[in-house]
Amino acid sequence: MLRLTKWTFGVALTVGLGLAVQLGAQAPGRAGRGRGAAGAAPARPARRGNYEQNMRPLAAPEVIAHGKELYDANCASCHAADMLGSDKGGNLVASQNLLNDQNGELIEPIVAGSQASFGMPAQTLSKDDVDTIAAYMHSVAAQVGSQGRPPGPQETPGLKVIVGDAVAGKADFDTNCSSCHSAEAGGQRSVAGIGAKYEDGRSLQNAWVSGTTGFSFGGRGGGGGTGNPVTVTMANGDTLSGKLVTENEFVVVLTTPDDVRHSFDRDANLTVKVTDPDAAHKDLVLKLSQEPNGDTVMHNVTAYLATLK
Amino acid sequence: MKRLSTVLSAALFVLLASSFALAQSAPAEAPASAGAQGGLEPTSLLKPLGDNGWPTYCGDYTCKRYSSLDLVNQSNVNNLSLAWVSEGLESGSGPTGTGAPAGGRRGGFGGGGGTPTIVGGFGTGELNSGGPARFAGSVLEVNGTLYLSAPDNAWAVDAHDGTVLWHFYWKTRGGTHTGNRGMAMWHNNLYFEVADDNLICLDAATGKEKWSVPSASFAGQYFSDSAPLVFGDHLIVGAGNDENAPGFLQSVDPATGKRQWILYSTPMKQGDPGLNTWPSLYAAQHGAGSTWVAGAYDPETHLYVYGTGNPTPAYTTGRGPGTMDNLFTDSLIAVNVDTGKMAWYYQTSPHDMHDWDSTETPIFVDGNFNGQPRKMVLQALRNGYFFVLDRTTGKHLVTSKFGKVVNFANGVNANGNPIPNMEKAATIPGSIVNGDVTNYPPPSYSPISKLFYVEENNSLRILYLTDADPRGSMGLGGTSGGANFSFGSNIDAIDYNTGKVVWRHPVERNAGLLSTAGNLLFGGDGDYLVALNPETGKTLWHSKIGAEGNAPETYMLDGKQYVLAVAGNQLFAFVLNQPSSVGAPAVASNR
Ligand code: HEC
Ligand code: HEC
Repeated sequence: MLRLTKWTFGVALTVGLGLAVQLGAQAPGRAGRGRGAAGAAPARPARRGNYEQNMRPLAAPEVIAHGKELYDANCASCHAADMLGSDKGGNLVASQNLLNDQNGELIEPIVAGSQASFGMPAQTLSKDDVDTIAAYMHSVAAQVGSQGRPPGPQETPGLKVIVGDAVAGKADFDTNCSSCHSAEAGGQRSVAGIGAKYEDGRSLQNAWVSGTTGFSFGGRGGGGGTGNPVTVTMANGDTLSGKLVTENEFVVVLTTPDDVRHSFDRDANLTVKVTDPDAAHKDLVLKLSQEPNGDTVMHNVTAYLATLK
Repeated sequence: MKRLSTVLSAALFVLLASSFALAQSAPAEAPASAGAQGGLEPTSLLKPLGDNGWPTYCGDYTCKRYSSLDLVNQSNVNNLSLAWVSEGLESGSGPTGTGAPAGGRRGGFGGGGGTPTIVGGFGTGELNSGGPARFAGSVLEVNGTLYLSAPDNAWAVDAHDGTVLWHFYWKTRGGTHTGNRGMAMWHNNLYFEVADDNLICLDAATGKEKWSVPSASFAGQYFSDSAPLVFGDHLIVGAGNDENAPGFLQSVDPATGKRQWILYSTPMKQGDPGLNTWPSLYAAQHGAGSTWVAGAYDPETHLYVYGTGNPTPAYTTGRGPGTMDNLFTDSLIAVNVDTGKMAWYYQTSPHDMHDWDSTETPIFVDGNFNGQPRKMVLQALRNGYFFVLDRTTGKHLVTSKFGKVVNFANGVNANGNPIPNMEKAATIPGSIVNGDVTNYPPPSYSPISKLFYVEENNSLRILYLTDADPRGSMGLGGTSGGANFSFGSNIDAIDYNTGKVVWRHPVERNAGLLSTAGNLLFGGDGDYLVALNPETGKTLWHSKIGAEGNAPETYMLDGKQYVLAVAGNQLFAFVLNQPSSVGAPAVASNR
């Protein structure tokens, strides 16, 4: 629903503790997202949010471990080992019945057959066993991340990002890029060796599309062009050149190479010329975005660049 | 067999629907009689926005955010000057709400010392972040007092000089804290929602809590931040949830908070309309469609028209093929406020794979369409499309694309609905697709210019699928973005007859708009509050106050027209510069 990163929500973060917990959860090295074995180690998992489900006290580790055994034996065939569901039974992590349950009391009637008409068969399990299963299920649901992200790592391992045709990609490079870039070492804005700089296809593609090999996931072109080369020509014909700090309808601010800040009221008779180094790649991305095969061209170029090691 | 399962499924969702009511301790004792008198009469909300303050989220029920006030106008707007700035408002933290905030400063509002802080809530205060208040909603103005809210906090402020009169602080149990969209008023009661899913009723005069009731299930991962709305004896309350839970809207009794009806955004049982647009009942029941931005109300037909949010999982598979619309997510819905029954719907983003979250404020316009008088509803959406419908029937009249780089759809169908291009959904090798074009910042419509005003943000990025599970991800999970390029932001003026953008005024960013009979359009451009010529988009006045949290507002007080804006954690009130002869005598006569 809401995007917490979007500026329009201001500093739209979850409060205090929750934030810390979520950041903690971003740390690498988290146990693999089960997909066949939820919570491989049913020890206390990292908490990832500050909803009731994330913060409630969990059962003792041995209870959770026993609950997992019972779950695997009686429930996993339909609801999947990671609780995220199959064609035979829905995702239990997002079950309102589970989230509102305290100690198994909302799960007991369901296991006893209250949802038989939906294909949830009555199971002959003792109340204690159902409550133990519930304790395990709560320990998995406690790992749900911000904005309803599923428990476990957020990325499926081994995704193949480079799927394009490198031969077609060379032709696409010649058509779309060679006017500004050479593939030869030492050539104009050379892309030689770029394939060796990146471990993964996503970083390579993000780098060349954004035209910045300095980072892999960042955005460009926001922030009003801060840092771009600018030349201001004053009414008397004098000029000042430097790096842009701010430019809007009312003021223009730049720093000259001697690190001095200069600011001007736009009402004065000024001509402001900002050079946008992103312009070439903005045009490129816009063009690719509007072409039916634009994504294919992008994938092919990425496949070609990956061969430039 | 079929009959039986219907009965059973109904029983299942009786449990769900009531589970949040059960899951929480009973609300504080509600007043025995609903005999609230005086204060803001609900009938006064029927007046068009003008000299009656700002008594509801949009100012009036049409959501035009057009004020008939014209003391400030094109001929004198250059004399608009600052009347007062409120002292920075701090959110509470700790058990008493007076814990040291992030900035270290606390208390002493209003100089007189001892602004009362009223404390409520079921948490301990440890989860309240404190610090500068974050404003992203409307401010009410009623009889010289401003009422405004931030997550977990509300304030009354003197509209003459910005003095804080009381501060209400809610100790949260946690949850997703986005911007709070504002308050509602009914007689002497004020209402606002808090993130941990309570609807709170305050005494407007003192800020004391009268009662609170659950607005949704906190255990069920809901969060509540929409502005409640009063329509006669109905108080409309929305809620959000990102974790594969059903969205809903409800109406409660403004006197007691007791539920009158609930309308889910997705099919919840066999036989419900729209079920054939989902792969299974289970998927529909977990399909979201949050209700977090207030809509517009037609007192003649008793229809409340509001937008629903995105489906879940938001970006990944799990909702059937792209030909499945996933009703009634990303739809404009007209509900009869007396019965809670849907009168019509129109889907503005079928089978959304981009979190288009189509809750943006709709605007009611009575005017000519193709030469015929029409009662219309206009809406510009996060997906970059603008729509005009007949608001009585829901009949489609216009669809146009106002976002310049929007490419997620393969055009629109015969009924004007965008056709999602599934190749532009998140893919493992990445697809280049547009970002959000607008969001909650309120649009405006001026009957003088007959133009609709809205922010337009243009961006493209590569959208990657990172969770390739064939069952789909959950919530908003499963993707990452790269190589984001901005193609600039604008304030747009749209002609509803054609859907065409008549002018674009470039801005750094904007948080909503206000138009007035002074033939002015107020809004934000980055850190500036600006007044534009609504016909041309030319700037007439500006003041640097910081990035705004919401649309500017206006009200009359003691013969002066105030223009109010919220930036950072401060309120800025502007009035026309008075000739000095009008001011108080230079020497106080009676002290
Ligand atoms: C034969 C398949 C099957 C087995 C085995 C099974 N379930 Fe279910 N379960 C279902 C189906 C089908 C539903 C109906 C809703 C849906 O489609 O998921 C359901 C529903 C549920 C629900 C309600 C979901 C909600 O949205 O609130 C819970 C809780 C649940 N099952 C728990 C269990 C537990 C615990 C076990 C093991 C003791 C179990 N189930 C075993 C198929 C199964
Ligand atoms: C019109 C000229 C132009 C075209 C065409 C163009 N680029 Fe670029 N490219 C640039 C400029 C200028 C930069 C530097 C951008 C900056 O500094 O922000 C750049 C930067 C890059 C970079 C980063 C280089 C580095 O060392 O930081 C890569 C990689 C790249 N481009 C690849 C491509 C590919 C692949 C294409 C064709 C699909 C292409 N470019 C098309 C002008 C162009």
